[in-house]
Amino acid sequence: MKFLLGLLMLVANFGVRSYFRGLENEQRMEDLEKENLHQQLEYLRYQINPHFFMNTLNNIHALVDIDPEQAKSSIVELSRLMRHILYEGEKPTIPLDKETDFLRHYVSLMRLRYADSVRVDLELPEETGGIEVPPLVFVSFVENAFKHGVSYEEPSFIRVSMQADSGKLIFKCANSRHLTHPDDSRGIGQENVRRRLDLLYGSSYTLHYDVRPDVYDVLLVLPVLPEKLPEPAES
Amino acid sequence: MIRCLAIDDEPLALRQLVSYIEKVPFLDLVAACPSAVKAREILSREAVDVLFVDINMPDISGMDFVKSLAAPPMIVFTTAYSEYAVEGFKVDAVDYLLKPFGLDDFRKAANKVKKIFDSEHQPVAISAADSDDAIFFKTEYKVVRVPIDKIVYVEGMSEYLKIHVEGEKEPVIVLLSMKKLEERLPSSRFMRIHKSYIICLDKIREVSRGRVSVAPEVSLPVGDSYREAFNQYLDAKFLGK
Repeated sequence: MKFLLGLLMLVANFGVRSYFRGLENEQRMEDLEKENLHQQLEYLRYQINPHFFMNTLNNIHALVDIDPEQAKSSIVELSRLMRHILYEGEKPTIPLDKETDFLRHYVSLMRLRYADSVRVDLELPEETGGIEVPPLVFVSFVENAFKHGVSYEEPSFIRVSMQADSGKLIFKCANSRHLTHPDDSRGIGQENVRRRLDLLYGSSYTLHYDVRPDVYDVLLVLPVLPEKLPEPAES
Repeated sequence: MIRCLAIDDEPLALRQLVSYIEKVPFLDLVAACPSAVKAREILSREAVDVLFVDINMPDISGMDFVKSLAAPPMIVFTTAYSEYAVEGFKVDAVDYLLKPFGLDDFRKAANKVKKIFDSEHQPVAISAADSDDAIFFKTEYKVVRVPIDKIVYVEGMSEYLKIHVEGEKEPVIVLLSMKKLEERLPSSRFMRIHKSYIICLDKIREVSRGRVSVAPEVSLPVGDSYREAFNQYLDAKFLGK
């Protein structure tokens, strides 16, 4: 009897221990998964093209002699842009109006570089109603538009627009295509954005490229997040 | 003068480049081009010694443009890139200017261009056979041996001297004062006849109205303060009235 009781207790003890161990493993697995996701997101984080900084600094350097006032305002613009990348870029989500301000600074500094050789239309919402977005998603499309959309042989344009509409944020970015840039491949930056969006939104977003002979169109539709983005979507 | 083209698609960057070129006295800007296409057009009708060219441009990159040239002139790349540096040396770039760059950086690159230009345009091939007596001159990039008896005349231009050597098309240009060279040359054979001229007396062909000819189509003035000494020399050599 005593023996039986002892055996029973041993079995129960084992059962409880393995039950708790199971829980522990589950927790650890979950932690690991989260950590893994975090690392992937970190890895995919937008990094601004270093040439953008160097070329912009070069133009400001020239402006110091030519137009000191514009040089000053460009430095302010560049510093706001850098602050955004350095401090907002790390957060999971940020208010949309910060992101649209950032895009305005970015385009303004790009206009400095290209002057009149490209027509840039930027239509961003003034009121963003507390919408939260992941930082630095849109800029990689705009960056690509400048990279591929500017020609001196043909008229060039870049059109960027964004609107919030019934629970959706619709972002469009179009640029002129040119025979002199036969290679439209959008590189690792674009691939990273797609993977990042996959991790953040799962299948609840739309990213569509429309490549016509003279226009390259990007359509991105994100579900609107009125609050902070919850945990990364299950994959 | 070294003839150059400035090529950059960004208007401000081009303007800056042009202003730097204008500040370097030995550079002569042929044209400022906003694209490689424009530069190619200029190159088809103008002689150009050096291109200052941006690498990253729409349509045709500076690198592709340079590679497409059958006989490229000297190349100085201006770029925000740095990883292209290695590739650049494959196309024999003289130098790289990483944006943003200052006037001093530009001057350094321009001086490298000048060294190469000078060495290609001053084939000083003086025979070492007649090693009677010679002077070695340090020019910017090498040491040149000039036999004293081949010196026809020396011309001063600010801090430089142009040494005109018999049988050489181009003078040897050295950074040296007239006084220093005058002291080194044997006074029995050379005479200072002007603030800016030393001549070899053996090379005098004719003297007329205060001017001395030491070579065909070279007629040098005799300066006021040197006239007396020069006339004394002539008197001593003079025969007949």
